[in-house]
Amino acid sequence: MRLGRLKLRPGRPIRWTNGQTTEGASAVPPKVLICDNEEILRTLVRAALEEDGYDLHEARDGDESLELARRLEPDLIVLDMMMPGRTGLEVLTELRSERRFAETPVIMLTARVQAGDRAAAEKAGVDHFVSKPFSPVELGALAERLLAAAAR
Amino acid sequence: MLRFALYSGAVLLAAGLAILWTINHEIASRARETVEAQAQTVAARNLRGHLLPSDFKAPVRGRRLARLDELFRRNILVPGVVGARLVNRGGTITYAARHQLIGTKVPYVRDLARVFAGMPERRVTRTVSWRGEQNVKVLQSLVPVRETATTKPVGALEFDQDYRAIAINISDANHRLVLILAVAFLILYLSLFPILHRVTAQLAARNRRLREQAAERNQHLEAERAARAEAEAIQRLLTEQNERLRELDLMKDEFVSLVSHELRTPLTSIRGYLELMLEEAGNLTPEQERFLGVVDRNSERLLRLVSDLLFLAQVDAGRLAIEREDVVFEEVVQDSIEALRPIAESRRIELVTSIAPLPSLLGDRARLAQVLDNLVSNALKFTPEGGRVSIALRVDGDRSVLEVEDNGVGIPAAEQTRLFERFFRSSRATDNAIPGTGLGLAITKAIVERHDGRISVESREGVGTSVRVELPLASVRALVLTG
Repeated sequence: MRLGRLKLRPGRPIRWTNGQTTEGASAVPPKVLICDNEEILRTLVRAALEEDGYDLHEARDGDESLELARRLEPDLIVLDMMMPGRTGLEVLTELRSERRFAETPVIMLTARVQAGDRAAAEKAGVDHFVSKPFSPVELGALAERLLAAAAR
Repeated sequence: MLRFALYSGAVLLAAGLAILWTINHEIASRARETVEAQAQTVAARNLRGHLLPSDFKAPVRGRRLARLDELFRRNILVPGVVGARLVNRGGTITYAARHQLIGTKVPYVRDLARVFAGMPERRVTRTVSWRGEQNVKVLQSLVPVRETATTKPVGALEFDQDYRAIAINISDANHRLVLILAVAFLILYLSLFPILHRVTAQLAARNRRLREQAAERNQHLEAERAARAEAEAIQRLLTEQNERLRELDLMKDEFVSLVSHELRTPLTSIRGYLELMLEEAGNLTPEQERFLGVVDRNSERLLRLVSDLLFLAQVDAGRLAIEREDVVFEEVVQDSIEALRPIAESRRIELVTSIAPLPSLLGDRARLAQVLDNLVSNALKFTPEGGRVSIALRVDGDRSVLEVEDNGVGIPAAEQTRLFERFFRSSRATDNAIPGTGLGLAITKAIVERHDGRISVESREGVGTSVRVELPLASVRALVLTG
């Protein structure tokens, strides 16, 4: 699926396919943590990202997100803003207070349109906002761009 | 009035009676003294030189008795004097006009002692018969009798005067006095009454006025208290209502937030998976692809409806967030036109633009783009194939003026005032099955007004419609933002 979308660039001609290495590729695919309480959305995000061969992990709520993030130290976190228990914002604030997560790229998914939410999230350290509903294709492109920038 | 007359009359009467009694008493006393003095003078003058010391030694008898009878009859027993006696120091009557009393003792020994000490005595008493009359009221006087002026009295002369003579005098005086006093008081009363009445009437009037004023003041105070109580009650009510409204507002915010999340999440799935499916369109039959296209358009419509409703809910809550940034409005207009040009071309509608360069304005680029999208897509929707839509942007003083004009179906005059109402759809739209929610112009108006702008519509049925949007330019004033 969607094979034509991936652009190979000099210096980073990498494509991860579920742990299998291709020529000139790094043995370890980037870890991506998907945090959303809705399974159907986690699946959608997974579908948007799995073509790129990332090592995908899912967390169902705020606490699990924190736990997995600390255990896996992912290269990218896709975080839903509204989750039961700890909200995405609280998770992010918590993570950003730890040195190892200071630079980790974070994509915040939000359905909220309320004024001030965006400002609060930006203050907490969000790199990119993706408002629901989102285009899986664009999310995939964004994830790739952020990972590439972080790896450089 | 009557009460006052009775009261003042009673007071005057009491005063009159008191004066009368005092004067009467005085008159009686003086009359008695006068009569007594007269009698004494008469007796002393007439008896002096005729009485002998022996007349007091023992009861008088014989020739001496006859001589004294003669003496008394001629000199003492004048009219008004009903009796006369000589009493010696022992209290024995030595001579009396009525001979049977001679030799008897007088009962008033104590009075007699005072008389001998030099003090004449008098008293009102009743006596025996006098010339046929019984129990006559008399004024009895006791006068000491001395041999010379310096020696001790040898005895006393006692004589009785008919009290009626005095009483008559007193009574005469009394009658005259009562009459005079009565007349005097009557005159006084009559002359004083109008004055007193006037004074009391004035006092009464003033009292009444004061009472009225006091009552009025009380009424005022009462009214003031009532008003204050009412104001406090209203204040309380308003506070409670405010509190409730605040709670409702919070609930509404939460509701909006919840709906926003709950509606967008399933739509996210629908549109997300749909996009993934359409990506690999090669695996689909043309019919499947067409069906999925219907799902795609309708899910997008649903999403737009949700967004519009949430947008208006924010407007209602006064929380429509507007960015404050310099916007090059002509770019926004150009971008919007370019985005919609394919639709115009597909319906063979001519897009005429006349865009003058503008100073930047302060506002929300995305919201202003929404305004342009709404207006231009409306114009396209209501213009038949082969028609024309012109978009003009210019500066007019301190404002930018945008006009979107079409030569479409137009809006009936009766419906023009309702264009900005939510969910209002022109009969032209419903008759021609032109899709829409009826929210676009309400949202457009909200955005324009949030930018301190104005929006107006002119339309003629069958001729076309022109929408005019005026927005203040950034150099003139900064936006005042809330929320």
